[in-house]
Amino acid sequence: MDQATKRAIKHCQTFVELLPHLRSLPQAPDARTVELCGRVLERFSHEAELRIAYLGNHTLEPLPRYVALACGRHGRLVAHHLGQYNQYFQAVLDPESGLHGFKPHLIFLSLSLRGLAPDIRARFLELTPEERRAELNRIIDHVGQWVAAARQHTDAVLLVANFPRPAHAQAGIADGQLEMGESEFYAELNLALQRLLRQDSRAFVYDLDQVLARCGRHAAHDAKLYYLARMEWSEAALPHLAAELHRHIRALRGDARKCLVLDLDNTLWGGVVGEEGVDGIKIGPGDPAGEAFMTFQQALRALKARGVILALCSKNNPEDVREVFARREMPLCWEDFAVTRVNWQHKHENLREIARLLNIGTDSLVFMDDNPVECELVRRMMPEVHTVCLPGDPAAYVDCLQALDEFEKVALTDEDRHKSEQYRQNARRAEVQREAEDLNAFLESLGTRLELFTAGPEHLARVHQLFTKTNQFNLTTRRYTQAEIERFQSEPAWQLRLASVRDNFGDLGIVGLYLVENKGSSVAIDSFILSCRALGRGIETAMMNQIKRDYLLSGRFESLEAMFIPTAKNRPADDFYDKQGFARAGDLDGGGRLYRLTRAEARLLACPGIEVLCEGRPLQDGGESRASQKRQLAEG
Amino acid sequence: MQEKLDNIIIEILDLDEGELSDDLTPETAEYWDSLNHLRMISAIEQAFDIKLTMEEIQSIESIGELRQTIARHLGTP
Repeated sequence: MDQATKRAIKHCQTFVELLPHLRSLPQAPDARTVELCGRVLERFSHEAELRIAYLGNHTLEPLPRYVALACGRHGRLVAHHLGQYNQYFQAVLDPESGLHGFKPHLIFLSLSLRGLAPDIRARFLELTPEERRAELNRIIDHVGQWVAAARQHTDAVLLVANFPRPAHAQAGIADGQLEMGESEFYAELNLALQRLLRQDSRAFVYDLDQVLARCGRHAAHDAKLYYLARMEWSEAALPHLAAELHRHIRALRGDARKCLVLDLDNTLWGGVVGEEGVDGIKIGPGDPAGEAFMTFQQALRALKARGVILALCSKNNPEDVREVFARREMPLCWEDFAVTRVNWQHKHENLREIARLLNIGTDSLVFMDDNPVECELVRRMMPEVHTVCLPGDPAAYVDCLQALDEFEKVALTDEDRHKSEQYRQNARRAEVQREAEDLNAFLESLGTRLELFTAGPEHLARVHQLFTKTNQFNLTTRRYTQAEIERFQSEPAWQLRLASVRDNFGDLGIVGLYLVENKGSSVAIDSFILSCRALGRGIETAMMNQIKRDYLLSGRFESLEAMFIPTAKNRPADDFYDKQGFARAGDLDGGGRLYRLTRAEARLLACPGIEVLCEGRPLQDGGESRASQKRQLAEG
Repeated sequence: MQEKLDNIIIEILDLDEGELSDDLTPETAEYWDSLNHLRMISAIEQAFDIKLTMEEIQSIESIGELRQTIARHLGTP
């Protein structure tokens, strides 16, 4: 780094000023860069949106600065707190501890077996298999107790590192023949930890063993650093460790991008189909390049199974492309892509169109192309898109894909597996809508079926996803944590109801929710959320009708309160409560509005074409169909 | 090589222009604590592709001694 850049960085007065410098740093920064940037970032820690505490029984400095840099270059400012050495229990149990004062969102715990189970490290072979198993159980109990304490005394998400295998077994190659040899011990230990935390919605395993293996076990440990300062990790390991932590953070904050847009020629197959013909392009076994592209396509299918939407954007004749998908055998098929844009327009115009059809923001796109000129143009015209220029050799494509952290999620839900298909169905609906002349006829033709039901524990991941990822039709944009959601589900004062939608084109899955608080003398809608792919057909009105039925028309309450809190993204919801018949009841600081609806003024509104099931039963008054609606409106 | 080494020291220890001299010690440099001592050594090892022994690391008590040790590893007088 030259002196001018160094000076510029040191003089940054705000995080926003620092951001472009961080973005232009190399992927694996060296110690000096991290110290320099880390110190500057710490100046802004009071503004941090995410607070991470680091606890353990070995020296965890300087990991936090590496993590701060990894997050910083993605535009996320984090602050860190390092727990006192080997006081990871005290930190959570003592209400006066620095950790409690810091109020972390995330606690990272790393326990070294050198401190926790020294016999396992020093005298493994001298222990009997029973003694080794007893140690294993003791370690798991110990971690379990810490997790329970941290869960009880903090609101933080817990990230617990697992236990790295040593680079060499003490028994040498005979280890595999032993009853409970070292490899078996670590495999069982880490599996036990995984199982322990899998049931916990707030604690996750950080696969330290895998990260160090990726880095290279020898490269990741510098023995003298351990003896001098109890540091388990070498300088070389730190960027890898920080990158993995950053993946967890992205997943927990729910800021994964939604769609990967791919080029075709030399991206999904070798060669240019317009020049070499359908039989001339390389895809399939028997040819090194063909096999490389085949493996890449398989990796893309795996992404799709994770819930990432795949789309195509290629400068080609549509007939040529269709012929390839029809005649050549490939892992990916035409239907795997939710939207395809094969034409001679500029790629950035196509990207905007793809985002529009999928009803997602352009900042939710990742674009992959082998052509540096195309990539540069997209970067220039649409900097919010994450553009990846594939390396020259197809053998390197899969590594390139795996290095992305744009799609990390905490857990995969059933919805995720079918997400691409759902978006494809939606895009088809969008195209059908253009053809329908009468909007009502169109809505009727959709055959929408809405199911409203109380959220159960099996829906927790999806509910959390809805709260954290829905921006447009979100009336109050409250980003609840999983712990808070569990509270709402267990306390009788709160009603958390989910909306699941099906229509003639397919199943949209769980698309929305509402959260209502019974305050005793009054009742208020805390959150009302609908996924953007379910907008435009009255589902939100049908949901609101149910709230009106349950709370007002039933006679339980005289009035219902609600709130609209504006953000940069939720303009589509701006007049929702007005349109539902609520009266404005005052303004809030920051531009928000209070609303109130009295029983006398509550009216159910028409939702043509929607059949409603509530808690598994059709509505007694015949539902939302037009005929019964007219009857209800007339009766007022 | 001298400049490269100096830059590392200045950056890790967050020194001002002109503060760097052979007599600088952990007592006189504000940010030269035991952890930054190790970070600085790690950064130097990384930059010059050398490895210091624990004894060497523990015995360095001034910038002058640091410069001498590095010079010895690089074979320069």
